[in-house]
Amino acid sequence: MTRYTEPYRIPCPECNPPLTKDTADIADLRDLALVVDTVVEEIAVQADNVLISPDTGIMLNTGTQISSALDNILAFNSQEMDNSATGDLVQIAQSRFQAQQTGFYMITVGAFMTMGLGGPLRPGLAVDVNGIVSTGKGQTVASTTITGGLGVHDTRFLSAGDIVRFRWIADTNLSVTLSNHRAAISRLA
Amino acid sequence: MPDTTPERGYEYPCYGDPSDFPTQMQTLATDIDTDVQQIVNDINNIGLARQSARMIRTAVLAVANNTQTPVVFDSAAQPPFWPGATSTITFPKTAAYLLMANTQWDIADTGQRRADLRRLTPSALSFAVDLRDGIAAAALPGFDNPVNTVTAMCKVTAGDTMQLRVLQTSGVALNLIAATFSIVELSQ
Repeated sequence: MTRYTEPYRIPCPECNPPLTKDTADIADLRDLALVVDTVVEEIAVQADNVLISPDTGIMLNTGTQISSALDNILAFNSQEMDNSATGDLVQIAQSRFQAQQTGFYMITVGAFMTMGLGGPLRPGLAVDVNGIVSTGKGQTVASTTITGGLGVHDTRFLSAGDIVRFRWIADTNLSVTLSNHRAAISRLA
Repeated sequence: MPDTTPERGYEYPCYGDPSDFPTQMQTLATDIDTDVQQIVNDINNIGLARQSARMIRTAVLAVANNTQTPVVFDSAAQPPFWPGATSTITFPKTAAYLLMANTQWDIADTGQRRADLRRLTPSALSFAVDLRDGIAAAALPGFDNPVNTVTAMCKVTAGDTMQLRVLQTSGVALNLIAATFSIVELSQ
């Protein structure tokens, strides 16, 4: 007869003579090993997911992106990190992240920009979750030629499968050159 | 022949193996003990001991016009990254980090204010830059001063170095009133 420990339900022979007979044999040892294997693996995976290597992805654009459009998807061409179990947190071909686990995530994006002389130009960066722009930050600068940087950070609750992209938005059709874009996502809880 | 469990590799006997319960039990127990100890060590030494630091500058720093100026910090909380009285931070461990810096300027309404988280080694690379116009005292709410806020996540290798750099183009020297630079390890 087999009994089970609490709370992990680890099997062991019932050893309470003379009411029951100890049935220990080699199969009991195997069953014990397999159940402990499953329990420890779950704990190890959870510890790794939450404490040691929470899903984190970082992607970059090592070149430039030039546009005079008012609304643009930020393009990336290089993956710096993706430690998700699936390896699909960073989807560089689509310039996006896809959450592999449900949870709270820290999201950051930054870019350098150069813009020319002209009227008021207020370029901004924004976080886009499933096609909805939710968080953004504009830059108000003098209407002279400038080079500078802009960054946005946010904390979002994402469901597994949610898509995170990044936009840069201008209020006039003047050309802006973006370079060295960097976007990152890390699961917090 | 003994077999091993599929995930953690614990050894257990199979039918046909010589019956030696004490040794077989000892082998299984030892395997589990070693494995669980490693998990506990990883949780304690990595998961619950993430590297983090916060460097502060409270002394006024006069920043020359249009000159990239590294901020020399004067104190730190949790200082594994910072040997003291220097602008250069050295990362002790390979990992992904959250970097956040704030700078606070004296009031002047000309030119621009810039803060830059810049890696020095293995190659020069700016992780984040914040740039904004100067602002007149009349436009400020309360007693606030103009600030730059810089946030980035990055992966660095142990030994990489970084500085918080500031730049201002007011036309004359301008005081940086205060600066902070926080680093938190996020993941491996």
